[in-house]
Amino acid sequence: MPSFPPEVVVRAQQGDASARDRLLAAVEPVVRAFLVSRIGRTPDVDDLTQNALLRIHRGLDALQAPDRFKALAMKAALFELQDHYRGRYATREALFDPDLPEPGSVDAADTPLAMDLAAALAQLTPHARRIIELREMGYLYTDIAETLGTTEAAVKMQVKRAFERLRGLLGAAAVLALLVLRFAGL
Amino acid sequence: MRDPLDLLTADGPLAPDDAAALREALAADPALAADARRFDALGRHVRATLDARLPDLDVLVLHALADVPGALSLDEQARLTAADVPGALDAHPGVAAVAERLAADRAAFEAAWDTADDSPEPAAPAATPVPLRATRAGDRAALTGPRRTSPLRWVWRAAAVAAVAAFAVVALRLQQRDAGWATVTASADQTLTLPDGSTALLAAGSRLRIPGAGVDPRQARLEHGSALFRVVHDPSAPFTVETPNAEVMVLGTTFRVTAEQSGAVAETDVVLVEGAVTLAPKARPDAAVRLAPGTGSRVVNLDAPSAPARADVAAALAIVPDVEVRDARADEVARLLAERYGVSVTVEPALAGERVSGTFADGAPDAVAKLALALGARAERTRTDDGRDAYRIAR
Repeated sequence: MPSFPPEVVVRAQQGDASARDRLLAAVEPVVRAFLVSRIGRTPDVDDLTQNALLRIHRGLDALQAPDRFKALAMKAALFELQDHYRGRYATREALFDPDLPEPGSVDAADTPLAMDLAAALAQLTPHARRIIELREMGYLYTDIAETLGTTEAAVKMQVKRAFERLRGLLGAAAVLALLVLRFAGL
Repeated sequence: MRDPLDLLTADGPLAPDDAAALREALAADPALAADARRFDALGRHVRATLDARLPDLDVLVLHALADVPGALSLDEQARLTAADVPGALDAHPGVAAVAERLAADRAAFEAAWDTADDSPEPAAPAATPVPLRATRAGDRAALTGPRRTSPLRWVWRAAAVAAVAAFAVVALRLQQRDAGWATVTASADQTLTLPDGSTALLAAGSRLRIPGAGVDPRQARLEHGSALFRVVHDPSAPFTVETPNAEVMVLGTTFRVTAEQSGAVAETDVVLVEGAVTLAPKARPDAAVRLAPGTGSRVVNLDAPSAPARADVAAALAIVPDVEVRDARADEVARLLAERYGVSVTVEPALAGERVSGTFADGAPDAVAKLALALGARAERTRTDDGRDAYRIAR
């Protein structure tokens, strides 16, 4: 394993550019190998490696214990990888305007009555709920599959089943709520 | 055409054609549309509950490293203590899965560390420039395989080290004050906090007028350029954005407005990311159109707005695009960065033909630093005669 003598770290923190360059040069292949092991040899590895090195560069001055350079490098690499997982579809567009009333509902305020989301969510299996949560946190199905030790096809199927299951639950709840409202004269 | 259910449950953004096909399918099947809306609402509910329990997902990385001596700074320890990670792990199986994944990532890093070459001390920098990296156009393996053996060198000789932020911090120039309004011209992409707490991300060169004390704070005037607005929700006080030829009224939302004038033609483009807005020509509220998220419309002079149509939301959010290159010459990347940030960027001749790949963003200092890093070179910052930042990359 590589070693990063604390005295080299201290020199780097004190402004020795040569020492700083040596540290970054030595840790780069480690960071790269780690990223390749997690996301494969994709073009993103270059970007992520460079970003991780920038994090290390920025975090070096604040490193309290010079003998903990490895921890700094590991933290930078893990942050970068998580940003990569979660950042890829941060711009997923919304199909529906949350401020508009749901079609068929009495009015916008009726929505909470018509859709008991928490209760419907509780009807899902823990596995399905895990997948839905990971999806909403920004993870793609390939990453979800790898995280859960299954296949991408299985993850997609699970999401579709959740949709169908919730279709029945939420649709029935909406009808029931509407009936309750009408009988109550609202 | 793909099954609408496949499209509804797809991960990631849909291609424009697929998105259009899905909207058509939903328009033709109101029952499916209602179910899709509920599923969408469920997704938002899940995100909201996750955000409420754990607004800062980065703490999961801190949690994964909590037992590593020296890994967390004092601030990070405080963040971790303040966050209810155990509660989130108990309540959310997805969060627990992320934590497990992070534990596996940590183990993978340890493995990468342990299998790396052992050397008592990293080698000293080479006295002479190292050979160019062996990359050829289309040689993807060379791009992602083992890199150069020359050490990386960093030297900043600027009088002050630029702070790295999500958007470059540059000087504002207040050009004039007019009856309680202030004019802001962004010399580079710039985020402003407006008087009511809303924010406006201005593209470089854009000019925005904002109300001062004593003026209704729920308004802004985009005189020229492009701005991404994130408006605080307040149904009792609609927020209005005026351009030279149009008005955008919002309740609480994220949208992009672009105002351009060429001769006698004034154009205002609006793309809605989330929430609800109406767009109308000035003094013609009767001609207003309402936009749904993911759609845009255009007003030319005082004509009625164009029919709302699907818009490129990703482009709207990336108000000023990053510089993204694959296997590009270093001197070409330098030219792109210079154009992007309005600075001077030069690369020494020996490095000009080096091939680089990556996304260069987050302001000139960070982007140039990254280019220098990729080239195994130094970046020196000075000033041009006209006062612009000038960067020279050399070994």
